[in-house]
Amino acid sequence: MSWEEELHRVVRKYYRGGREEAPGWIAAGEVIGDPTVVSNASCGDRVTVYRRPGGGAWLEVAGCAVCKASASVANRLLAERPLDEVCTIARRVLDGIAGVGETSSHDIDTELAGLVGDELAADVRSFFSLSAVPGRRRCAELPWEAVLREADVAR
Amino acid sequence: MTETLDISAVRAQFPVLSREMRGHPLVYFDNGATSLKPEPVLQALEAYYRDYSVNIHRGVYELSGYATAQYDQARESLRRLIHADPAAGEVIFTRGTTESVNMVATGWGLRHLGPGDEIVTTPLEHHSNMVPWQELAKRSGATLRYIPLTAGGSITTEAVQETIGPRARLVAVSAMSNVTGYTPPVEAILAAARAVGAVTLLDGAQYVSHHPVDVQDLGCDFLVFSGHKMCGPTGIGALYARRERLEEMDPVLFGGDMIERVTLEGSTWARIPEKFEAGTPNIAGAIGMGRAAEYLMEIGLDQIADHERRLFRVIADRMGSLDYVVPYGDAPDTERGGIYSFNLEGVHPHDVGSLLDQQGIAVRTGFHCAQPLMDHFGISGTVRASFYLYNTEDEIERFVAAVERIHGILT
Repeated sequence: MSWEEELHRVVRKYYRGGREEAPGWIAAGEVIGDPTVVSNASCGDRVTVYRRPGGGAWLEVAGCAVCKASASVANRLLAERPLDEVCTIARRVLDGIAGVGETSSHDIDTELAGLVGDELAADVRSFFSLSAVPGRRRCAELPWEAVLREADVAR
Repeated sequence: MTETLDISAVRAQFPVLSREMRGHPLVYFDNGATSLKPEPVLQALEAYYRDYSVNIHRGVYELSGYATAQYDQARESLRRLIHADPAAGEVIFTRGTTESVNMVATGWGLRHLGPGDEIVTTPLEHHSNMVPWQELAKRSGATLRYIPLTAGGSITTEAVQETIGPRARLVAVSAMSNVTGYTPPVEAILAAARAVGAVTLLDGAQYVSHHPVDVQDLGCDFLVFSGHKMCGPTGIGALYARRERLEEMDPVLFGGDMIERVTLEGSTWARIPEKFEAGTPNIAGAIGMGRAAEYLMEIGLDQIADHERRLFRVIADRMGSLDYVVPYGDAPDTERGGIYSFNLEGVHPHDVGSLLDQQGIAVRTGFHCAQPLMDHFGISGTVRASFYLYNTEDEIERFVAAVERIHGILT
């Protein structure tokens, strides 16, 4: 399977997830402070991060399928783990999408697999192919940047 | 009867059209961003670099004289393209439309505008014909006003009359929207500007390459356009200006080639147009742009405009039959060029663009350097199909079929 076919498989797999209803605690107004908003200036896509007292966060996306799929992966992780742990994953994912050092890609893969399991790591890796597609790279990065920004705000 | 284009013969001139993209014959509908280049232009560029790639103006040897003559001939070709009378106006080579607008904003605007003066433009402009005026307003103390749009993105003559008042000193509008293909009522705008003594600039980036233009009939003070959107190379463009405006305009680049005399105490400027072309110019680019102008004139700008209007009618009709397509721009086809902008309900334009790419179709998606117009429509972006002389109705059929497939996939 080519990297494009693999990317399309993953986007299709998670795209619907990106359209999931937000958790009930957002509708109930159980959020801390103003939501964090991160935008892609080149296309207007926007990720909004809502945070719940006592832990828990949710990304809402106004954007393309790649952005929604990427956010859906992040939301799955945020539903199961504390924000700090998701931040560690977010840094590895952003390194991978940025194509940081071909030589270290194995380390990123290994670390990701250790953090999220083989199946999810394989899906996340498909976004790394966008390092060669400048026009779409930011679409996949945006949700993970939002996670890091939210963590900064939370601190 | 209007003579129609021999599309097969035209297409044979554009080597890129013979290639495939994603395993399909390429459909190139991104002409609003840049046009493809025909053989005569490619040959002119190659001839310069291969046969006489020397500097112009001051070389006393034969090749330099030849290169200078070719460069001057290119300027003459552009003059003929826009019907400029050399006694009344001149073409300056620039890097493109953006640089041309900035030259006017800085070289003319800063010298002539101040507090109390008004600059008038519209919300449908490309950023390149808006941001320089915002900056000029900030630096000069002048006020920037916008001719309001209808909900569908058009301009009424009433809105023109109400916005261009006695304080207007500069009116800068696009001859054709790069988003909707709408051609505003330029004659009415220019007349209203002239009535109050305002200087006028016409952004021809999307228009000059697709329609006949006569600056003497239009009576605009400035006309700006780019080479790469008219079958020419990138990195070259033009600023046409009436001679009296050029004489009251300061150069914005200083150095070699633009001077008459330099002493330790100061310098005087060369005559027009050299005064505005400091440094070694983009010689190959100018020659290529000049050849592109000749090519378009050989084909016939009337024929090109008719062809694109016909393509617009076909795509508007075919896409109009799909109830999930949201088109932008409400002007009739007599006030539109060959650009069709749309969205699919509930689908991000990038996703449509990516899936069109999978089927060998190149379009532009996003806000098209026109964020205020996107705000006006209440959207973040559109899918834009923009045509040129080599596009066909068959390509539109492929495009519409692809859009139908994409709707099935994404909704």
